[in-house]
Amino acid sequence: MIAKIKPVLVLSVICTLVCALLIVTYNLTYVDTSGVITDDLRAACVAVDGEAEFVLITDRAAEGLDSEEYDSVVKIVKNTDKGTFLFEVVTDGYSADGIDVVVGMTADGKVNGIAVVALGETPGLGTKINDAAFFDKFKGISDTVTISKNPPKTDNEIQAVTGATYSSKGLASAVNTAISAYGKLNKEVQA
Amino acid sequence: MSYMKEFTKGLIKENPNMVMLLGMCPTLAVTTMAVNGLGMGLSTTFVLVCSNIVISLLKKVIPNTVRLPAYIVIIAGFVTFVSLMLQAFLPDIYSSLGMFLSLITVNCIILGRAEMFASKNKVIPSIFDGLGMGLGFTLTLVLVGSVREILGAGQWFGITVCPDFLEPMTLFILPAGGFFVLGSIIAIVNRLMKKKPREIGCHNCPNAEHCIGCPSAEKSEGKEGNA
Repeated sequence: MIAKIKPVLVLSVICTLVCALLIVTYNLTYVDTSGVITDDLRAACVAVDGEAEFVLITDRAAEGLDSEEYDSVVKIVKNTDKGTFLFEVVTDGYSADGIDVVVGMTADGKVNGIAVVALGETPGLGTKINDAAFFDKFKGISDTVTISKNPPKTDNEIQAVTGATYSSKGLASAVNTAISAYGKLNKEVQA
Repeated sequence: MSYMKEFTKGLIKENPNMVMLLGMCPTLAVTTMAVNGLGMGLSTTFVLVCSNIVISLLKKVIPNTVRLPAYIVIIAGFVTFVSLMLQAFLPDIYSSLGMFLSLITVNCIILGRAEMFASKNKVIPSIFDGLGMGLGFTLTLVLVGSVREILGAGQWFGITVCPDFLEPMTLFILPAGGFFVLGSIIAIVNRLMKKKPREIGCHNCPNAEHCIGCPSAEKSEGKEGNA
């Protein structure tokens, strides 16, 4: 009888002990980043707007961005020095949720700049989009932007980075989300 | 000291990666940069040493029938501990290792050492065994990572080492380059250690009796006499 129960008992005790110790570790190391501007986010905001006072906007309903369409907008940051907004957007590149960028907008609804918070794309291919020259192409855009493989014909077309088409498209979709979120935000602010 | 032997055997002679060919998945996946290799290697070493200690201490307590699940639970506990710690204190390494950090749980080096060594030996030799194996693994990862980073990105530990006019070969930080570099390193190590390729005889083949024979079969028959 004991020989039959012992394995089960020992395994259960080991599992319980391991779980208990992990709960302790988790509680000791867990930091809630949902309501604060993390160092990475702040660095990205500074890269876009320069050194300024940044405030996180937490009340999504008041800003009119609580619909599902804007789920990819993770955080909205207000530059209180200039009165402009920055959006942290997470979109799919080649890998799911691979692109985490901050898109800064000017007061008149144009893209002011882009900076990377975290990039989970393929090293050497998708990570090539993290390039100031490529980000600069998005500057000043205020309408839906599309990615093409050929040199752009219209103002709202941007040529993809070679070998990083999916990542380029993901970045464009982040920019589009930010532009439309800003449009929505503006109306709410004006109303 | 025999402890020293337990420690050094993992570095080159029985190196888990280059000689025993275990743990190939993380070796190929995370070595796009040397620093990732170092982070992965040291995390694995930590888990390996800790699990070796605990398993060696508990070897009389754990019944034989549930020994594998018990080992896995202990290993998984340490892996989760390491990933929580990295997330809290070294978030850069945490995000670049990604899911491969959690996959240390099923790294066959760790379970292999638990089953082959820690469950049969005392605590102190187990610590040295874990340290040696872990550092041997780290050594390989840093080596593969360095070669790939230098050739593929022109950098080493994030410092640019290639002159500007040389375009780095991106191939080396893609998966194909990983296979190439690992294969070359294993070949070099085997050459340096003068290790001969294992001769494959027919005595282990279940179809040997019905086999019509080939030069290698005759050779093996002559030697083993049981084909």
